[in-house]
Amino acid sequence: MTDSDVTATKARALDAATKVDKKPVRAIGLLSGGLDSMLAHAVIRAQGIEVRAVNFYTGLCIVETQRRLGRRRRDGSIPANEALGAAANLEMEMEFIDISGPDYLHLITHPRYGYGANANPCVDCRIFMFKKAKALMEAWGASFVFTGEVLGQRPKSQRRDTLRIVERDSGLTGRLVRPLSAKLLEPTIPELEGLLDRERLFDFRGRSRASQMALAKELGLTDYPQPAGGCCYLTDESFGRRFHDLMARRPERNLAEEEVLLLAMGRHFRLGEVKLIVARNETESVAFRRFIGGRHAVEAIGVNGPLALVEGAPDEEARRWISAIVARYGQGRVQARVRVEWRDVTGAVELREVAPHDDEAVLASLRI
Amino acid sequence: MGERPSDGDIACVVDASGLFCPMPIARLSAALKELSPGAIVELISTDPGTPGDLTAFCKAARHTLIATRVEPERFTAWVQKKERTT
Repeated sequence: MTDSDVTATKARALDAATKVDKKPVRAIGLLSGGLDSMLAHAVIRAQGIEVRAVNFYTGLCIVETQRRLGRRRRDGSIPANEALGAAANLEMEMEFIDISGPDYLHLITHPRYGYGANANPCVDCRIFMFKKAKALMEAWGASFVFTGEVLGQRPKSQRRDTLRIVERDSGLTGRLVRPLSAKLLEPTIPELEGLLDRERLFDFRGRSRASQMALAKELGLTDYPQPAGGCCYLTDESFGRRFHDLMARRPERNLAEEEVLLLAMGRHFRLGEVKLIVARNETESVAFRRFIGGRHAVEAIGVNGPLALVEGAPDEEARRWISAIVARYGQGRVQARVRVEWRDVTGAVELREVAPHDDEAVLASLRI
Repeated sequence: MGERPSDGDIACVVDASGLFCPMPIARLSAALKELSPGAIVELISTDPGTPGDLTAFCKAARHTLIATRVEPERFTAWVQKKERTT
């Protein structure tokens, strides 16, 4: 055996030993179902990294409520779970992580970093989720966590400074990879350790999706949701108004799970310290019945109409207004007089006869 | 798709009646995780979107959707856990 043969043999042995000892590089990916998170998963997997995709369930999912209320999309289809669709397109298993409950509600009502345009405490929410992801990373022996975040895409949560805050406060400093903007950010530990090839990551920035769409085409990803989507009530303008209206009257800023559901349903009106919630259809009326406890229930008698719930202690004037509003939203709105039944919190029943409210401008001014 | 498996072949029933997206699939996924490869789970759901979710879930995770039964207010499916992939 020549010297060169020995060298070659040693090299092969070393290579074999390295392969035996070499553990797969693992990562936890956050899969929302949007194009960016899909691309992030495709890009990381393309580097041979074993990915465990997770999707966090917060209890504030718009699709969940739409389905509960039997709503359909404009084309008549049932609202779909975009994360599951994304997982199917990527042909990778995805795990739901349930983070709903009191801790998450406390985060929503007491965000350290404040709210976005609506009721969305996105920075705090990400920190909360990434802490959970970090625990999964450690339990699974993964080297890093990654997301589809793009620098500058969102005005609050995806600025350079907030990306750093999220990384720091979640305890993931150096181990939170944003593959789509990685080249614009400091190299992370997996990049420095050679587990992840920085050259095969990207430098996307801003709100334009052109680069992402081009990459999707390159990767053969053709079926992805439009960016206007999103499944979180906290980013919904109407929900946000109702949420802040409630919090403004509640110094202790507590929030129960059933209140979250009610914030997402019905027409909401504010009459001083009294709140009126009128179901928008029969399905909502049925759903409202489970929330009657602790509230006054009001509905028209003798004609079809919605169930309405009243929070607070309405005086005589407020009762007249509410009765007229409830009458207006039923089939009795064309009648001169409508009978309306009140079932008070105490169980007492009162019948009133009112003219349906007919001033839309006034109604609009009372809407939350 | 095949026929409904016999009761003796069903390892576990996940009754997700009254729950909505994503909980029926989340419960099914959790049940499958506890079972051996090849085990069959029966899923009962009243969420009208579950059939679509389930198709996506099985495609993603490579489980086998053996059979389904659609009734006016209820959807039942039988899912077989994928064989171990190593």
